Amino acid sequence: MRNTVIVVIAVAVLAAGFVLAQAGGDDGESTSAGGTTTQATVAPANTVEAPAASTATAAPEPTPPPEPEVPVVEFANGKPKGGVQQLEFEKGEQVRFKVRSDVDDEIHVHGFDEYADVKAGGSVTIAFKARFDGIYEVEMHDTGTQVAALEIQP
Amino acid sequence: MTRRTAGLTAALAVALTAAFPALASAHGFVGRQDLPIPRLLFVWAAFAVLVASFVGLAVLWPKPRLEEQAEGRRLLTVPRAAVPVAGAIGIALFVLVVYAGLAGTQTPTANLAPTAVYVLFWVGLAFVSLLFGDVFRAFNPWRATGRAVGWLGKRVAGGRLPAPLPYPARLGRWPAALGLLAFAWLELVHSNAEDPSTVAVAALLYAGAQLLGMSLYGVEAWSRNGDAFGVYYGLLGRIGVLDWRGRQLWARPVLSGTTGVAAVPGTVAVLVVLIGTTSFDGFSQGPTWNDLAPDLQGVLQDVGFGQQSALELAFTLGLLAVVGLVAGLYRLGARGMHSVDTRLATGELARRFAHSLLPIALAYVVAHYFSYLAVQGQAIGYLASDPLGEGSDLLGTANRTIDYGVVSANTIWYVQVGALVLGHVAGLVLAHDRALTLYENARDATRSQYWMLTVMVAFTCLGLWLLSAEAA
Repeated sequence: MRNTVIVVIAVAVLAAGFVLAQAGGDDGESTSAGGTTTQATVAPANTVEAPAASTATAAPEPTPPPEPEVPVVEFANGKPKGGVQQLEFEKGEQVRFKVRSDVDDEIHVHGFDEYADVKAGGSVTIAFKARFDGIYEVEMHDTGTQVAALEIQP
Repeated sequence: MTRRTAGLTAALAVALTAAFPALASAHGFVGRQDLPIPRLLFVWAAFAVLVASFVGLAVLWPKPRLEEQAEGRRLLTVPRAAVPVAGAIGIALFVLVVYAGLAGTQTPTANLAPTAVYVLFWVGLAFVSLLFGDVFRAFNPWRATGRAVGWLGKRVAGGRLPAPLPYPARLGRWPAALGLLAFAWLELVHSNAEDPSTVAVAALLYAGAQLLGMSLYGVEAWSRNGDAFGVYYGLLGRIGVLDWRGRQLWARPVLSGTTGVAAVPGTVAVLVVLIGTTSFDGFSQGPTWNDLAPDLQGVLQDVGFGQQSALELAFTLGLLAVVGLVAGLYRLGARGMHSVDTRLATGELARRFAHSLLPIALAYVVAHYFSYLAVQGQAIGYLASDPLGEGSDLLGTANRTIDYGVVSANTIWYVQVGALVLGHVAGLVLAHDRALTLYENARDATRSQYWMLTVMVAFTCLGLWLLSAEAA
């Protein structure tokens, strides 16, 4: 009896220690799975151009100005460049990202049901408010390929 | 010593089988996934299970409580006429879903069939069975058809129909286990799983197989053993308080119904398949699998498979591997229990403790699919008015949309963690209770018991590592 109790306590302590070690040790770890993550840190820059309304604004852009704060998803040869992109935002925040494509297609953000057309060789900026949390697919509607995962944190 | 040790071993086996959920979960066809559970919440959940197992082992009842139950209380009796009505409703819904799948638009979210089968039937009925008992039995379209045919046969042929074959005891619930595995394969592996026509054809094939089984072995024997969904909802219906006995509705203490699960062959397989396939559904959304799958696909393509079949084969292998892992963990627990008293064979023990897996299977379903049901289940609002997706508005609800914000990430996390903790505790309680009735005061092999515990700890660590890696 006593032996069993000792063993059980030892096992529980080990398991608990393991759990705690896991919890403590991994805090600094990044949440990325591979090297393909684009952290979408929307800087509060003076970008007043896009209206706050939840509509996708098509921009053919003859002279593309550098916008480092907007994450870009590149769709080429039927695939998202660098794999399915991870886009992270917080609930209530303005979601904004750009999709560049080498074919004509329509971009569909699941859940929020935002649609935006893109021309071959062009790009489009999609902007809307993150009204709810969860992880949502962004796909090229005609090709049916997922290009990004939109992660809305609570 | 022995009784407590036996209970302890059984409980640990259950706890460890349970320690393998991959919670970065969600589901294909809607394009929405749950956010992974935050690590802190996960740690608390693991702690709660550990503490609960301690309480269960040390303080919990020294005598079996759930096994020897009083009669229960009769609540009401349903009129005789309700039986064919329920059956007819079941058949009508089945026909509607198949018709919509074949004749309607082939856009998955605009057609009734995929949502009706994958969300309302597969997930929704699990919740219904928990709350209201095994109501599916009354509405089961295959069983209703079989009974109607039998009734007609008696009238027309005047009782000259041949008697059904005796159901082979060795077959047990194996056909149901295979049926559930096939359904999971369709849902999680098949590339066109969400196509309405695929869903409809699969439903027709399944119904055909059930009618064949019933005509061979009789309606009731087949429904109890061979019908995957009849068995699944029948098992889940035993967890809750409401208990249908024919047309009578009885009340019983929660969980007590599970002790009556007959230990026939294939019962463990049914539950292992349920837990394993749900785990794979979660696992296959995580980074580990998404790194692994393309490599596996590449290897299979090199061997000569096409791109799509290579991917399907890779997913099939993954699915079988996770089911096998869950089976192996449970077998290990049974093996440990066997070493306590070698007069009880491992296989026999595995069957006798199968019911303790039942709350865990339910917990997995709730944890993985609760948000799926809450969000995608709303689609029935517009689908009911426009089942074919062709612009009709039968009930005036065709313009309803899905509110994706109906459950917040926080709610989902607490439901998930709560379900897992409660499911595990329930499993521990059931295993403990069963062990108390099985083991006499035999001298047990304490050393093999220690060995068992060591293996189990190793598996817990592996399971926790997998979980935290998946949820990262």
